[in-house]
Amino acid sequence: MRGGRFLCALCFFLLLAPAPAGAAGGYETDVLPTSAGDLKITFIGHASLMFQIEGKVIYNDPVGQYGDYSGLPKAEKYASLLWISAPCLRSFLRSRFGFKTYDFLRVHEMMAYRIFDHTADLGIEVSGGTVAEVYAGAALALFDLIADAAAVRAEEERAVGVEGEDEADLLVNFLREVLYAWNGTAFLVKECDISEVGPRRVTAILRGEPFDPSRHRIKREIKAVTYHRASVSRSAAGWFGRVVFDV
Amino acid sequence: MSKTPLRKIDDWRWEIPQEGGMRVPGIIYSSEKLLKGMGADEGPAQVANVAHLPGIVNASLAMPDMHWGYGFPIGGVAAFAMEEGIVSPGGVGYDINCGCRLLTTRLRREDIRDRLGALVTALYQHIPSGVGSRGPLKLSAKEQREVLTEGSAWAVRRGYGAQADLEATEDGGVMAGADPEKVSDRALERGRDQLGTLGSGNHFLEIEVVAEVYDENAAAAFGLEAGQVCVMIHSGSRGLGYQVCDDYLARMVKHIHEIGIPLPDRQLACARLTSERGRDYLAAMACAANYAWANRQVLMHRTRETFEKALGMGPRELGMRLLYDVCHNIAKIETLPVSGKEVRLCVHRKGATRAFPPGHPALPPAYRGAGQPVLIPGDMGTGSYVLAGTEKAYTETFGSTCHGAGRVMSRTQAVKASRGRSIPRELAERGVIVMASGHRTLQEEIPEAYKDLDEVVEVVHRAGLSRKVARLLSLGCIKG
Repeated sequence: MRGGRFLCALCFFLLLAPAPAGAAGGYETDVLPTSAGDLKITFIGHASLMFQIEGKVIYNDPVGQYGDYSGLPKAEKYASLLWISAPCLRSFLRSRFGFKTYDFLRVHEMMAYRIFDHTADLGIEVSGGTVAEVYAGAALALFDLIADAAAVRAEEERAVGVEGEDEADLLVNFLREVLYAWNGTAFLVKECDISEVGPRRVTAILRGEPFDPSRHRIKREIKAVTYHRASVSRSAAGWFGRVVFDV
Repeated sequence: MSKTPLRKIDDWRWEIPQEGGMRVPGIIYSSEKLLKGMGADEGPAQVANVAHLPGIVNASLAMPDMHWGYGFPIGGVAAFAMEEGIVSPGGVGYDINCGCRLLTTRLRREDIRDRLGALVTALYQHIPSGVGSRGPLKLSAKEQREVLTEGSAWAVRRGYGAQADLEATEDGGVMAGADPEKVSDRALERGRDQLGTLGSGNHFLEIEVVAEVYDENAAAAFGLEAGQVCVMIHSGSRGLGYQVCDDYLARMVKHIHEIGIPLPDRQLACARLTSERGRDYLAAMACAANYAWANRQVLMHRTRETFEKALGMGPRELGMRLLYDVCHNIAKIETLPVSGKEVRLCVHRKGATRAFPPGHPALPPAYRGAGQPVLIPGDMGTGSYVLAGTEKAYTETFGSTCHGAGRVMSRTQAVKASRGRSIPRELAERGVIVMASGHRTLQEEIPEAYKDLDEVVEVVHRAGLSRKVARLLSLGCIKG
């Protein structure tokens, strides 16, 4: 795994097993041709997916409460990868299976966060093992929506701190502050390190660089972070956050 | 969420009966066809939510272009009593005084047929557009204060347009009560270099031609005739307005309990009109509204310059004139009839347009016979409508009507639907030249992502909220 820091921490549990023949019962499967043969991606629910390639089965389930695995191939070996980010997952898949042709952006979108449809707006759902991971993951997801994150370098630091009434209010206020780095000061964020989390306060260090039109591609304008149905919740499997952006 | 019950009143109106904590019923102007197309949209639930707010008068209204917004629905109209009522930043929207202005010219369609491509390119080059677009105008702190308090008049004073433009702008292009002290440093910073820029998303500048005239008298009063070339500008208060909304929404969320009722959604956060926070928001919102009017005034000036240069014409020959400028994201203190009595109210129009009737003193003398011009921009490439305000809108919907087509597809769905297609080529086949800084913008704004504009306008026309005057078709469009 390359990359060094994996600050957007998402708990991915990867379960490896020999692949049996036959399709996954009742789930939708996409088949994508790659240089290493067909990659089958089965959508299990929420951000949970099953990958099948070269006779291997990989389960990815960051939440652990949406999938019904009873009709699916059983896993024999099990590995848990903590602190994995989408670029890291990408390089993992590339090194193990020699992927060359697959559009990894889609893997990224499906894994680090999920975009949900809202007629006028754009929303994200982020999960993490701790509430800090949800805040950090949401900040990176926000910047992934704004700019092509691959071209942004972590060269400068900005400290941000916000207060809020509860976790959802904190998430919105935190993202408002993170968004201002771009909207107000043309600073693109690459990494987010949460330094302090309390019930009423979050502080973080943002790393990134000032916008350079010659190197950075801006994908879309995010006008604001809304309170509309913003939520942060906790389950046995971890934390889950949801927020809608006005675009 | 349980389905909001809708009771049909007549062919164009549906009622959400008053129940639970609702202080008034909800009324949705629509048609069977548009309601069916709404599918899982939760707009009606939001109309019901707004009906819970203190001081709301008559009903929580929604126009036929209604769709699910954040907090308040887009296409929503709600009026509040001055004493016990509230003002809500979410009921105005982030893009304060987002609106339209329509410019007429002396050009006929055939005059620009061969030069359309060059004209669109020239507009694209001279009018800053796109994400976070910045303009050549850098305002000093003093100048910015003037923009925020004077609105369009500042631009005219600086040579961007003529005195007559002010008369052809809603409220003369200036909202009273603007106090720059109530605008945060962040908002001021964001507004410093964005005056005269179009922005991104659904904002656009479009060359259009009058394709059909429905009401000859009103069209003549507005100076419109079939075959005439016009320009529609759709933009707002840019980053400054977004920041004002954001700042005050957060302030009101912090004190959300002071309203005294539990709100189903923080995005509905509001403050009493009589409270300091409420008054501060109105003063800051007025600043953003004035910024937006100055912005559209500068954009119009740039458009005129570009046309003159690209076509090699003088101002007289071109004859570019402002027909009207309307805002469709605003809260305004207006005097309107309630049960036969004239009452001062705070009217929120979030994705709705003022539509004052013939004879109203707020209208320029030339338009008093016809009623207020109402500008309804369509989605990319379909053109626009010019309507006229009516007495019925005045008495039934606080002088309000629809504002556009309204989305039916989410942006993600729209991008999916445009996969493998060339949107500029498709539009070119329909005779429309489009230039956009973002490839994704074109995909997100594909025509089928919006409700059928003709159907939306038909509903407000049939329901009597405004009269059809003319239909304009797109020829060329620049987008952010």
